[in-house]
Amino acid sequence: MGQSPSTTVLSSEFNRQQFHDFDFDFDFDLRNPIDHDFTAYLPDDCLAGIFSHLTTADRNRCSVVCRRWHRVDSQTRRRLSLNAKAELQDHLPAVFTRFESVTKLGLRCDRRSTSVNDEGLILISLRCVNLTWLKLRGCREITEAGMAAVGENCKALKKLSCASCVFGIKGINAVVSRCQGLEELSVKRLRGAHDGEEVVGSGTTSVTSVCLKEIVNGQSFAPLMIGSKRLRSLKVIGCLGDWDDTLEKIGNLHAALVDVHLEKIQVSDVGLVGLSKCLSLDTLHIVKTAECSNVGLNLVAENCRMLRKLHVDGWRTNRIGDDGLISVAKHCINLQELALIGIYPTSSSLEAIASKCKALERLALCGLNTVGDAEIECVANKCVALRKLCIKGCPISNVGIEALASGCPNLVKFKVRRCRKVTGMVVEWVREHRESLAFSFDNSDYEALNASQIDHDHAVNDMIAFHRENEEVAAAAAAAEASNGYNGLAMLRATFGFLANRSVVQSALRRWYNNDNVPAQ
Amino acid sequence: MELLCIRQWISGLLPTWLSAWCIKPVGGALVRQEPEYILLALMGSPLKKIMLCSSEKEIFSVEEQVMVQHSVIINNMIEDGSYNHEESKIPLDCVDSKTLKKVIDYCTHHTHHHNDNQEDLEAWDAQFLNVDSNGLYDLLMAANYLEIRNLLDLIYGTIKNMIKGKKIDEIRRIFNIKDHGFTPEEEEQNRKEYPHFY
Repeated sequence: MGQSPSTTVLSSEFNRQQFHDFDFDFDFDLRNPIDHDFTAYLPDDCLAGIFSHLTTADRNRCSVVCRRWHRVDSQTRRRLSLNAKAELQDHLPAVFTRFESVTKLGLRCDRRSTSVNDEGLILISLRCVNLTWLKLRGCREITEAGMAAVGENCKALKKLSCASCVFGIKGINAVVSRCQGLEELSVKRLRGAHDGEEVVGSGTTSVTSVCLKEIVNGQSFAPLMIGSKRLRSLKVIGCLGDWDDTLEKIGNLHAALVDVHLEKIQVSDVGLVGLSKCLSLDTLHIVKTAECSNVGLNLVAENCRMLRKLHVDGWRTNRIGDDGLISVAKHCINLQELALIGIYPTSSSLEAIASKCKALERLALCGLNTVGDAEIECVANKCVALRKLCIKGCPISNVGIEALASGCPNLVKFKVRRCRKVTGMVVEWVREHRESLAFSFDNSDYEALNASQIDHDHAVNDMIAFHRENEEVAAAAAAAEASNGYNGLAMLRATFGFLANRSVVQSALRRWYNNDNVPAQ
Repeated sequence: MELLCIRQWISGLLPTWLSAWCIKPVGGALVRQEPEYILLALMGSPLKKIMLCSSEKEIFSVEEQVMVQHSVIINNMIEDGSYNHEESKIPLDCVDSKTLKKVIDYCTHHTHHHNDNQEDLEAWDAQFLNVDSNGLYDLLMAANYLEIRNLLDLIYGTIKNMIKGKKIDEIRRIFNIKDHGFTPEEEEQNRKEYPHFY
């Protein structure tokens, strides 16, 4: 457009201001009558398009701006998150008369209340036949009968997530056996799971992702995992039983597995041998699996050359160390993200990683007592691609920090926590010598007991946060939108007074709403 | 998108021998062709153009590749062969000249500056949307009609910012919604139940 960059930037600032304060009252041209509603002539699908970009909180407000917006919102709202207490049941017909296009539904009930029961779920399944995503949490009155109705009526279901439910394996099977298109299954703390049944494995060729957390008899899911030929993502956290056998079988059958997360489960090198057959493995988290050692890690590294993200939490058992890491460095040259927690690496492995993993962008070192200034030097000198670094609870000092800030040419973000030898003075130093680096330093003490868990959780969160920043804005925005409706942060305020017959109805729903804590994002 | 370009490129080359001789067949007769097309044909460049006709009967010539990449409607029209390059123009009766020019501007810029960095593109987009409410409305209607996804999302994003965090009274003021259509009882009920919305 022939404008110099500075002018363009100024103009864009001005534009944002302009649109915030813009008052359409003053703007009209001759063909529009003075008193027209800007949105009156917009077709419904444009209005719906605008609403689809709003957060749940904004959207809820828009639904009461005027009758037309109320109608368009009701007709096109896809995501709903309801407080599924028993009292909701009577109002369900009204809710789903109003919201006729719901495809993603969350029903959440707290521990102290009675939840909606099978009758309610059956009604929902009949009204929401296009449901693609169902999330149940704490709905303890639902049994396999309700789940069977979901399976029968919601044939488009792709994602099922259950937490703290009590319908056991029968309930899971009720859906899995009926919904041939099911892709993602996530189950946490399922009770009633020890009825001896197993989750059906045959015919489940569509399942791509299985996530199990804290299930007493997680082994019941083995047939599903083994039978799902398209399995890409597997997460098993805190489930009893020996997982070596299952992992071996999965390794033999599922070449497409790319994402594996094993945490606090009984798995040894045998299981890792199984996983090493998944040659396309991209992401591997081995967290607090005390029986895994260098041998297993070695084999995975040798075979899974496509590995890009690796998290290892050795739980201070000293079974994974230099050997395994050197092997990773040697074979997994595409490594982009590495988190090391509770192990004892020395310069030899850090040196190897720094020199060989040229693509390493994100690194987290937590609770590594053997990593000091000398060890960190090779990271400073050789990790050319490093963009984000997080160091917690390691015996490095200001010298090490300075070395890192002087090296690592692409470093953008640097976080330091609980490193006792580091003092506040280094913050000034970094600011002076490397202005563009976002450096964050905090020395407050955490509980020593929980340190390792916090470290890992934070490392994971950091990684997720780091990674998201690099992803498409659109995708991230969409994810944020979805999570807004689902994490219970924004409960719907269904205004039942505006139902078809327009009678004023005392809404008894006040009690279920999280009134004020509706954050914008 | 690459496949489309290759196909166009090949089909653009076909009449090369004719173009090289400065002749093209029009209605059975052979007519001398403009020099620019000769040069382009010799270079094998896919600068085939299409004609868009606004509601005010003004004709805009624009690279086929540019419009096809952005507008689903135009892409479909050309794919299914209902558009004849030699003779026809695409009538867009819902879009006036001023808006059509802006739309073409947007599509052309985004095609040619596809590889620019994100910040530059965003700055250009912000400048592009520096229009009054009627202009914005017209752009939205045009983008919706022509099904230009990224322009639609851009406009939706702008309008979203107008709504974000605002209370209902202010939203009504911004969009000039004088009559909300609720009965007085309903409105009162809402204000009582959700006071923090207003």
